[in-house]
Amino acid sequence: MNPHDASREMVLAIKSVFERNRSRVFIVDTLGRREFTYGELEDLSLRAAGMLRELGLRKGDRISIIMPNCIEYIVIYFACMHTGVIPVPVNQRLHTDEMKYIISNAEAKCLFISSRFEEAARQLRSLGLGIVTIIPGSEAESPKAGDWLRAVSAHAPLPDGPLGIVEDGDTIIIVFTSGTTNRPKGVQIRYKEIIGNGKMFAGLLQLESRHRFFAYLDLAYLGGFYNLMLIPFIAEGSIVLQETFSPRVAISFWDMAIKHGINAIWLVPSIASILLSIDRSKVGSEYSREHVEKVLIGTAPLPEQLKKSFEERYHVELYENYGLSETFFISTNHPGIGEPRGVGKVVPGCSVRILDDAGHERGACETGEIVVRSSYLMKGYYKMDEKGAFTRDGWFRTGDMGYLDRDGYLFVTDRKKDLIIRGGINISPKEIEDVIARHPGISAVAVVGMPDRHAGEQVVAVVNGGAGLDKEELLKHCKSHLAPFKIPESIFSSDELPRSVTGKINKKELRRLLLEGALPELPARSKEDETEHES
Amino acid sequence: MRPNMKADPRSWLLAWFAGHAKIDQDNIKPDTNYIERGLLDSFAFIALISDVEQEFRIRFSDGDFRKTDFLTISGLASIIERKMK
Repeated sequence: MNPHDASREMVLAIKSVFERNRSRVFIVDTLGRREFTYGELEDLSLRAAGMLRELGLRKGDRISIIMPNCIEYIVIYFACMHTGVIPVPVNQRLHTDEMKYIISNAEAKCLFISSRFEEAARQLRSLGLGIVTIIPGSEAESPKAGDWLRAVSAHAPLPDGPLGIVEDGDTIIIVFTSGTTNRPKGVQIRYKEIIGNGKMFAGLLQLESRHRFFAYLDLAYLGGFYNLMLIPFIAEGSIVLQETFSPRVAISFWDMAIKHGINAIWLVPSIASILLSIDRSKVGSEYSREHVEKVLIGTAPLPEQLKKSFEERYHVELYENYGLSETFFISTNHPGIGEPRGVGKVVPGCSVRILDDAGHERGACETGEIVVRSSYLMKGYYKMDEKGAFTRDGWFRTGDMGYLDRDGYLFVTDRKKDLIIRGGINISPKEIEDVIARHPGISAVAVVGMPDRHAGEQVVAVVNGGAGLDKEELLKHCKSHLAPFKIPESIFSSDELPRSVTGKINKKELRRLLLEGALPELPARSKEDETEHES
Repeated sequence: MRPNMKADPRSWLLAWFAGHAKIDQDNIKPDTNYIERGLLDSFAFIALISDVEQEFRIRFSDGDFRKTDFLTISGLASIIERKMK
């Protein structure tokens, strides 16, 4: 290995996957009703890379992407790898103010946006960056209607060849994630860590070329980019590309699995819960018993009863794992460790310690904050300090509470950080509180996650405000500043929010009051009031 | 949130949709495809199924979910009425 290759070990691993699998199918595109081999994806992404170069984009430049799941999204991701351009995906469901924040913060030079989001594109023009509107092939009314992939096919490929100019220490993607601050942070991820973690994970789970995954997690998140695109790619398997999980996907889940021979499923607990609730025939259970080999689950706490019910109904073993955007997989259950327990054993290349409030290490089975030292850690947050993210001696703070049992299995028991996980998506309560607090009728607000039968947690706000405050008006205010999935499901009122001795709102106590039903819902303005007001 | 009333399926469904904070109330029409229009995410959809089954003491089949009627308030109300007979 020459010195240049040593700095490109992980990059060359991606390149060799393309070389070994040219004629094998990697993507079954259910939306555009086409299949793409590894060779076709390499060819298309090299041509798209040529387009990026022609747009003046160079290694290290950032581009933002706002698209639904589609083949074009994947082509752009790989085109970025060939050119060293860094993709910054933006969730299509975000409010345009939130999109603007991410795109500006990432200093993106160009935006690739689906023609479906015409209004958002119009509003984002004020940012002054180049905008490329993409008509996905699955949505083009006719081949002449501007199908982007057709234009890509006709473009000259990048002369540098596949992954010719990137190194392991380069950034492969920046993913904005909700933390405990009021604004999302850009997690910079390098080739070295993500490919290294993916190779290790695929090895532990024995993921192989025969495995075909159902890719229905949003490509704008690591669940879609890493779990259901890169890991199947590293394993040299294949994916069945679908729209992001929706009622339509839920209804047709097992039909699609049967039609496309899916034998590997990546779940989040809320999806497992929905599938169990909606499944009214034996078709899924019978198919799963015979054909599904791997079922992996993570991103949110998995209730024991849900795990048991899913395993019994579908005759599978759920391999629960644990990780964060900043760390990738920290632990996982896998066939090599016997009986699955908790979130599995800490993966090779990663060390975990459990600390008490004073920073002292705790013993086996004693609960404390989970801190991590890992060879797969992120490069850092993009243009944001990492104050508080690490302990004094350099261990990354997960913000989760848990313990290691005597056999080395990790258990996650609670959350130290103020965060809501709704359907596997992290939501910052502070971000919502800041929006609600801007409403003139509010004097105090607290947002908490409350148990939800399917989503895991739902967003609940408790406000203290004037007598004239009404729910409809407050919801309207939230809708004009927040993405739909962040809008509170319920709003309660309280004359006095419970506080600690230091004056900080005591959210534990607030959750207790909500669970006991001790707080009234904020009333909606009655029709009579409206009439009186209008007259 | 389930509407606190015993009513015909169509009125009950309209009240159910109106009671959901996240749903854009202006778009709730009896013949709107609430999935195509993105009025319900998967969590709200599953809550709707579960609330309807509990309220009207029925159980949908796999076949019911596949009917296009299932995706509008009017169509769903008809399915409920048929199942109640």
